[in-house]
This record gives sequence, structure tokens and C-alpha cells, in this order.
Amino acid sequence: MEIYRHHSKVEAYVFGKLSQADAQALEQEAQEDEALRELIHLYQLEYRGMELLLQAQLRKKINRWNANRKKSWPLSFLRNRYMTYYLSAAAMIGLLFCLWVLWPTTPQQTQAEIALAYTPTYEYQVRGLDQPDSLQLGLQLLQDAAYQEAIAFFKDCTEQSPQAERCALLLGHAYFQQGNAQPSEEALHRAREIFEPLATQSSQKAIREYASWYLCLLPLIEGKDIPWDRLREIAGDPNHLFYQKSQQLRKALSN
Amino acid sequence: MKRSKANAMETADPFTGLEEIYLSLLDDPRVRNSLQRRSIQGKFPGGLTADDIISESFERLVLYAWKSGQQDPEELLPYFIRICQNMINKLFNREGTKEQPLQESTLDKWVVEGEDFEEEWLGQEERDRLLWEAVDQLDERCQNFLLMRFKENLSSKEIAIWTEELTYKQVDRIMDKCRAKYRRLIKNVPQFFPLTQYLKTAK
Repeated sequence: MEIYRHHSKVEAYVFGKLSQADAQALEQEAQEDEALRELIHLYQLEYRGMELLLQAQLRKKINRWNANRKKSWPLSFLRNRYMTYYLSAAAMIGLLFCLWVLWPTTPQQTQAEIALAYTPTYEYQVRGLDQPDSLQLGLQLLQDAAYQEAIAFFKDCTEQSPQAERCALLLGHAYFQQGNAQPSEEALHRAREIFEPLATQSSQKAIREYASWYLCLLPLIEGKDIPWDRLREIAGDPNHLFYQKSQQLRKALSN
Repeated sequence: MKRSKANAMETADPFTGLEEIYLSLLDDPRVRNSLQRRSIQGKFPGGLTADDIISESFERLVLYAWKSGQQDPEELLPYFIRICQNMINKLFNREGTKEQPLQESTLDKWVVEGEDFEEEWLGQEERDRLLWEAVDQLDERCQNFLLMRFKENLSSKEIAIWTEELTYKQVDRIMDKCRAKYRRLIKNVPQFFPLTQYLKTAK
């Protein structure tokens, strides 16, 4: 019966709760005492059996946790604080990217687009010029953006019509709209040359100003730099038909 | 001082709070990185996934925590990583696959050298099988009572509060019967413990 006084000590020893000195003393004693060894063994078996039981129950629990985790998959990520940080950072980056992409910005215009934007419109020509009836067909073609036909019309017109200067101007306009800088320049120079001596008359003055304005814009069509001296000349004349446009163009180009 | 029912329930359940620890370890990037570094293109031998290794390692971690009395997940993390690494090494050795060389990392400082939880005892598996057969023969109430007694060190009064049906004297009687039965069942399990072998041979 003496062995039973060891029970609590052996239990503490197997559970690892005995101090080192006491454990050594018990081991020393067990080396001499077979009954004590068997008792230690019995407790170890009990302990190990409980470990196995705990392990089995834990495995069941883990399987259940895994199943629950799969069910609540999207939210389970948020349980981890690191994942929360990563998701927050990703959301911020995504938001900034969306703002960058969707932020309303004015598209950068090319020089040719600027030139076309500042080209006199058909209505503008009507306001500045008194167009005769014989040119109505050509003007209609310009309005319909049928530039090839308009060019053919105004070519004939430049050679035959008494309104050759206007035809030359409109021919230059048609070439200009097509993006053909060279023929446009030739036609516009011709329009200027014809009417230079007669510039005192108002309509002829208007044609001359039209032509100079076109010639000012022509290099932009070719992708070259604008002739600043010509633009300054127009912008410095308040009586010029394109005075305001030239001011606006100067601002647009300086931006 | 009388223990409340809720308190007794919480104390009696050996798995209280483990789910949170398990889930945090499962999603911990340090654990994931550690496993990733040991894998071959994200794969492990035997078709196992990182989740499988974490699950099995967690079982061992709980047993270790039970023995050592450690509860803090941050303190247990280095041990957990070590257990995972041991398990991976074992898998690679069994498969005969060349192990992925370990790269230098700050994680290495957490690995406690010399701590090895692998029991290299030849009869261990056989002993565990016999023990499990014995434990499995006990009824569920006996299993729970014994677990409470061994794991949580609860007194008969505390177990009686937890059951809500029995008096502590009845619990005492049941516990005695369960333990006697348990001891009878495990009596013939051979001695495969290193300590008892040592004590025997040292004589």
C-alpha cells in the first residue's frame, strides 16, 4: 500500500508539474522500485490516452472550423488583421487609380486640330463676304464637306468666273480642310496677289484678311510651328476680321 | 467559492479560444510564407496542401501548449512554424524528393534550435493504436469526465456543476468506475515510453 502515497507525486511528475529536484528524487526512487515504475508507466499511458482523445476531438473540431471557414469564405479573410491591412491598401490604390483614369481632363489637341478649330466656318464667310449666287453650288459642297467636288468646282471657277479671287480663297479653304497645305497655300497666295492692289474695297479687304488668316494657320496643318510674326500682326490690328480669333489662338498656343 | 455554470462550462471545454488561434494561424502571412519557402512550386509531397499541413501541425501545437502551459499565440508561433517545418521535412524524406533549400529569412530567428517534437520511438505507433482502441471503448461521458480531470484538472464538484444533473458524490463514483475501466483496458499496452525504458535499464 505504500505505493499509493506516491500517486499525487507521480501524477504531478507525469503532468510536468513537479520541480526538478523532486523529479530527480522520484526518478532515483523509481530506479530501485519496480512498483513505482509501473505506476509511472500507468500514469503515462493514461496521459497519452487522453492526449489521443484530445487529438481526435480536436481533429473533429478543426474539420468543423475548416468547413465553417469555407462557408464564410469572403468574410473569413477579414478576421486576419494583416489581410484587413492589405485589403484596405488595395482598395486605396484602386480608388486612386479610378480617380486618375476617370478624372475629367481636356484632351490635348494636336496642332492640326487647333488649326481646323480656328478655321473660318462657312457661316462666318457668309457674314464677312457677300457671296454671289454663282458660287452657291460650291459653297453648298463645302457645307456638305464634299471637298473633292468643291475643289473641282472652285478650280474651274478660278479660271473662268469673274469672282476668281473668291474662288481662289474658297479653293484654298477646301484644300485647307482636306489637309493639303501646299495647294492650299498656292491658292491663298493667288487670292492675295490678285486683290492686293484693290485692298481698299471692303469685300476685297475681307478676302485679303481671310487669306492671311489661312496662311497663318497653314503651317499648323503641316505640323510646323505657327508663324508668330504673322499672328502678332493680325492680333495687333483691332480692325482685322480675325482679331479676336488671333487673340484666342495666341492664348491656346501659349498654353 | 462556488463556480458559475458558464464559468464551469468554459473551463471544462478544452477547446475554448482555439478556433480563433487556429484561424489566425491559418491566415497568418508569416506561416504562409514559411510554408511557401519550403514547397516546390507551392506543392508538397503526397498531394498535401498548405492547409492540410497547418491543420495537422495545429493538433501537435495544442498538445504542446497543453504540456507547456503556453497560451499566447504570438509565443506559440515559432513552435508552430517549427512543427510545420518538421512535418514538411518528414514528407520530403518519405517521398524521397529533394528538399527545397531553405532561403535565409528573418523567420529563421523564430525557430528554436534543438526543439524537436518528433518522437522517434519505434513502438510509438503501435502503442498509440492500442491506447486509442482502449479509449474508444469508453463511453462518451467517461471520455469527457476523464478529459476534464486530466486536461483541466477539474474537481468532482466542478464537473458536477458542469453536468447540472449529478452530485459531486455521483461524479466521484462515476469517475472511479471510468478510471478503473480505463486502467483495466490499458493495462496490457506494452511499455514503449522512453522514460520507463530508461528507468528500467538504468537500474
